[in-house]
Formats: sequence, structure tokens, C-alpha cells
Amino acid sequence: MRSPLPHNAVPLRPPDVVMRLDRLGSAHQTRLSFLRAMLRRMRVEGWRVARPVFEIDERGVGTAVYSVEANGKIVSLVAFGHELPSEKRTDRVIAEEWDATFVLFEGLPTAQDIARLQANVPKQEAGRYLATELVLARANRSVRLFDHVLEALAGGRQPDPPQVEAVGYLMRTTAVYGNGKFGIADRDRIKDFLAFAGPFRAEMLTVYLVRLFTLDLIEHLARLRGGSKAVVLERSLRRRFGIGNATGLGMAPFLVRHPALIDRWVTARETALARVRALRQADQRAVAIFRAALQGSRRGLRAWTTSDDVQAGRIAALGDDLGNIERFATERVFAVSRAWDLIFRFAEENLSLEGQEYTVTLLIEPHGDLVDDLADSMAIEEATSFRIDGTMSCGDLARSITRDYGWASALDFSEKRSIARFWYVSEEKLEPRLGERFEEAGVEQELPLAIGREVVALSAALEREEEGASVAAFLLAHPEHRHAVRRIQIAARHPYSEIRDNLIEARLRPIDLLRCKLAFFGATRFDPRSDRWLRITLFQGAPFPDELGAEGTEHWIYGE
Amino acid sequence: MIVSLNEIETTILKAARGAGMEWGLAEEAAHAAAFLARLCLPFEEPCLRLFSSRAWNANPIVEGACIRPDRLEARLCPIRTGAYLSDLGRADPMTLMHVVSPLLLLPFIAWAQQNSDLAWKGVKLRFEPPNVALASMGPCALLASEAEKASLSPIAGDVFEGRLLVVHDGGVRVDDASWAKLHGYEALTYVPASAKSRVSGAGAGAIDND
Repeated sequence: MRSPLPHNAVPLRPPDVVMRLDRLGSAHQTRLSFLRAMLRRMRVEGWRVARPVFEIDERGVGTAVYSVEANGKIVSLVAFGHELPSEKRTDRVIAEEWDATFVLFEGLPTAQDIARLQANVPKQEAGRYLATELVLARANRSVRLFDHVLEALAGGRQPDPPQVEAVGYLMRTTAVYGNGKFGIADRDRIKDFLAFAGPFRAEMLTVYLVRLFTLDLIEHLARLRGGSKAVVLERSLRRRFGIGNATGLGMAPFLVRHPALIDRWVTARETALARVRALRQADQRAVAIFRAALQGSRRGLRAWTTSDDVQAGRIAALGDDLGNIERFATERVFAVSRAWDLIFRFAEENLSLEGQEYTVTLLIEPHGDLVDDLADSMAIEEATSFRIDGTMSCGDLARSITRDYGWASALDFSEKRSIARFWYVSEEKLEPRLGERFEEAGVEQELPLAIGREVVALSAALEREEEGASVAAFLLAHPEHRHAVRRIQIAARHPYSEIRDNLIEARLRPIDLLRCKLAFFGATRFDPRSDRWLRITLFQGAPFPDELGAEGTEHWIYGE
Repeated sequence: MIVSLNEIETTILKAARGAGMEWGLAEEAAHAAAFLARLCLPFEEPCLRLFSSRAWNANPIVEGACIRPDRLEARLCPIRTGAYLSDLGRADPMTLMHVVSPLLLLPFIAWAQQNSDLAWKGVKLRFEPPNVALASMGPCALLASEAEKASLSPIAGDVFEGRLLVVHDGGVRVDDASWAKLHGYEALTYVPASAKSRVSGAGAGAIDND
């Protein structure tokens, strides 16, 4: 691992603080988030976007192709529009039809390719794919907004900005699949391709192009309906359309199954924060960006609505928090040495978790020159952390547990509420689900997500071993502990690898897991629809391909 | 059927678990299967044979340079034993007795990252990291259901007349019937829906067509 901090550096926040579920569930996007990192890459490398095919009828049925040329290579989004009866429209994974389906394809598809894709992509999981396919996705219209915008544009009017702001998108994706699912390309195959080395970069590009498709689609439909009377969206209003997304439990186990990767994500963000806190002086330009982002955030907060009572309370508290930061961060504070650190410590002592984590976002925002290189450190070859070092002694393994898993030892698994839940995969939808251990069948098929419980059991087993015995010999005799030992060895090298909470306890809010991952993607407007699924917005305010080169688009996410 | 490496890994992970392996070993089996597939070697039959043998339930006994199952009628599991060898990070001379699906040992010897030869009746594999070369009497020997004796030894001074295994990173063609059987094991890890789980398992209630 590189050592990015100078000797006078501020230490990174400890994992015991950062990796708690309630804090992870309060995470916000930063400039290192994947979609923002992708757009920077797009701008710097001058990726070119074209639309070689757009054959869609007045019902929205047809085909469109968007091609992206980057560093001499081409990938294409192939979009299929469908006619979907309203009663079949659902965000849930149980859906079998959608308003539109998409595939990101390597190269430019021929008519033959498109015919093959047309026979499979609309079926999504039920279709089969080749290694030329990189990402698979589908989306449904926002009924609330789509019809309103269509009617307005066809009638020669702009849609109502408050309505646009309240929803924020014309379509929301209900799944975006990558990495080898259903026969598509493995990540290993695409990671060096098109600068897709960053985590989820191919998926982010797919979603960005889907957003572009939704706007082209609505203007096209308006033209077909309104004829010469129809108008296109005004440029600034057009940017207020992002793309929605509905995410459920399918995403939750990912964070537990990829410990080394999660560590890279969190390490990058925490390193960025530490670099900013270590700055002796706040320069004028950075202060101006910080203030603009803060004010933009306060404005944006008014449009962040949710029907979830817990989240609604947190948003209200965040509003107060942002006001407090604004009042605290005066000229006098910025004149003091290490002003950014002062603001951080003010937030730590006075604000809600949402407010503290939002402060992290705001502090990092003005410092692209200082932190943007970290976006390239957020991927990892996970296979390299898979092998177990069996030459380690059982005594050293026990000491690793004491050092890194104190949080697990503090949990009492003899209490019924500590093991009230269990994770499993449902036969019906082949998706992860959360069950009640003492009320439902299927506990024999439990997924290994209760890491704390596994580590506590391993600790007890190690007490019966000789201090100097090798881990290899121990595991040969006790394969039931192999899963936990691997994690402990990963945690020793990757401090932020483990969520330091009990994922099977009665009070668990699974959406905290989803929120954390989505924040790293770059999502905004978290809107829990239950404790197990939520809606978000991606790319709202983002420049379109032809606007990427323009000045002042860097901080688009704050509505500038 | 053509599948991705990721599909192989996730299918074998769940199938191994469905067959009764501990999660940590099932992960090893999944990585091992994907490793073989990358080298265009068959993994389906060896895995199926292992799953039906449930050989991982036998305790391997290490006696000097020999590993054998703890009972006369038992067999060694290539995953449990292979993982031990790769954990040690060495490929010391060793004789493994009565190993089920010996081809599944290959990835673990490769991961041990040392020059060595692995041989059983009719098959010889030479490891010179990062290269693996294979000489075999034919598919029957390679896919042997059991090696009475598999031996791991330092590279002999002889000229190795085998073919270098080449890494492949596109889709992998799998045997449809075997793949279906692997899915059968995988299905044992799934929980059927109940009235309650349909309502609460993934969270519901809120309108989602708006």
C-alpha cells in the first residue's frame, strides 16, 4: 500500500468510528464517487459520444444506439424501448417487463448483433449473453413526471420546474448487472478496457447513457406528438433530469463479500479527508468553492423528500447542521491555521451523523488537486488477498482478533435479539433476503454474513490450540473456521474491510448497507421506501457529453 | 452453453455449499474451478464427483511426507487437502493417498508458487510459476475419479514433454448436462418462499409504480 500522507499528517479516522453501520448509513457522495470520477475521466480524455441509431415510434417502441469512443476503443449502449401496460410496471426485482431495456456492448453492434440482442436483452435475467456484452440494465418511466413533461413539450411549453425538481428523473433503473452475470463479460476482461479500471465504471457509463437516452426519447416523443408546435427542453432545465434507481437487498451482501475492495473505497475517502485536514492554510479559491457547495447543498436539501419518517428526521437535522456549518465557517475561522481541520472538529462535536459525513463531502470538494489521484486507488485485485497465510501461528491469529475485532467480542450472541435475523437467497427470485430466525424456515441455508458471530466462535476454538501451532494445521482440522480466518487476515492488511456491527441483530436497518454503497457510486436523494429498499437519484445536474468540456461544470452535483 | 468465469465461481461456491462443504472450503472450491476453467481444463465432472463423494468429511492425517484419510474406506478431499498445501505456501515433496478428483489439486499447487511436479497415474503437471504444463495419457487419466497416489515432488531433471496451459479470459463452454447438475446442488442453498417471506423478505408496502 502506498503511503500518501506527509509526516505532519492528520491520522485517518479509526475504523471503529468509520465502519459502524449507522455512520455508513449516513454516507454521502464525494468528488471521489464513481460517477464523478468517471465524468472527470471522460472530460480529461475527451471521450466522444455519438448516436448512430435512433428508431423509436410514437409509443416509445424501437431501438437506439449510443456509441462512446475512448482512447481509440468503442463501446455502445443499445437501448430497446417497449410498450408496458401500467399494471406490469414495478420497481421490484419480481418484474418481468420494463419500459426500456439496455446493454452496454463492446464495439459498434452490427444489424446481426442488434437482432441477437433484441431477442435477449428485453428478457433481462431470462436471456443469455456473450463476453461482448459488458453491462445489462432496465428502466421504468416515472409515471409522475414522464407524462407531464411529454405533454408540456408537445404543447410547446417547458415543464413545471418544481415538478421536475421534486422527482428528478424521467426513468429509474431497477437493476444494473455487470461482472459476468448471465454470461456477460467478466470484470477481469474489461478492467483494462476503455479506462474501466475504476470500480463500477462500466456500470456508471451505462447509467449515464441511459439518462441521455431518456431525454432524447422524451423530446422525440414530444415531436411526434406535437409536430411543429413541440419544443425541446431548455438546456439548464434539461440538466435537472438525472436518472432514478430503485435498489433492494440484492446489493447488501456485496459489502460483506468484498472486504478488501470496500477497504480501498473507504481508505481513499478517509485519506482525502486527512489530506485536507492537514492543510495549514485555506486558500481563497477553495473557500469560495466550499461556500458555493454549502449553499447549493442547502438549496438542494429542500428538494430531498422522503416518506420514511427516520430519514425525514435526519434530513431536517442535516438542514440545521448545514446552517450551523455556515455560521461557524466565518472569515475569522478561515484565517486560522488548519481551518479545515477546525471545521471538521466542529462538525464532529456538534452535528448529527448525517451532518458529520456531509461535512466530509464539503471539505473534500474544493481540493481536487490534492485528492483526485485517490480515485485511481479505489480498485483492487481481490484475488491477491484471497490466499490464507497458514504459516501464521494460532497465537498471532488470536492477537489479530483482539486488535481488529474488539467490536465482535463486545457482542453477546447468547441473546436472542443478537441473532434474530438471518440472510438467505430466495428460491423464487434467486435474490438475497432477510428472514426472522425464530419465525421462518430456511436457517440451514443461512449466508455467511454474521462475521462477528463467526469470529467469536473462532476465538473460543483458538483458546484450545497451542499458541505456536500453525494456522494451516488448525484449518486442516477445523475447516469450519476457514471463512473467518480469511477475513481476519484480510482485515490485518485492510483496516476498513469489515463493517463493525452485527448484521443479524433485531434492530438492523438493511438500507444502511445499501446507502453506503450507493454513496460511493455518487447517489443523491436517498429515499427509503421500507427498511429494505430505497430510491435514489444519479447524475442529477450532471453535464451532458457536449457540455463536459465547459468551464465550471466540476461541481455540478451542488446545482451550480 | 457458454458461461462467464464469474458464473462458474458463484455457481461452484453455492453448489459446494449445497453439497455440504463449509463456506471457507466452498470458496476455495469456487476459486479452484474458475482457475481450471481459465486454463481451459474441465471442472464440471471433477466437482460433481467430489460433491457426491462428500470426501471433505474425512479428516486428513499428516504423517511426515504423507497425507492420508483417517479411515481405510475414506477418501481425501482435494479442496481440503489442497487448501492445506497452499496455506503452507510450499510444495514440499508429499504423497497424497486416495484423493478424489485429483485434477482439483492443480490450482492449489499453482497457488503455492513453487517449482514442482504433481503426478498421478497417467498424468504429470509441471509448475514453474507462472507457467503450468500438462502431460497426460488422455482425458480419462486427467479426469480420474480417484488417484490412489498423487505425488508432489521437486522438478525432475528430465525434459518435460507436455503442453503449456494457456490462460483464456472470454466465455467458457461448459457441458450442459453437468452444468444442470451443478445447478441442482446450487438449488439446495435456496430457501422456498413463504407467505410471510413474500411480504417482508425484501421489504414491501410502498407504492412503486409512480
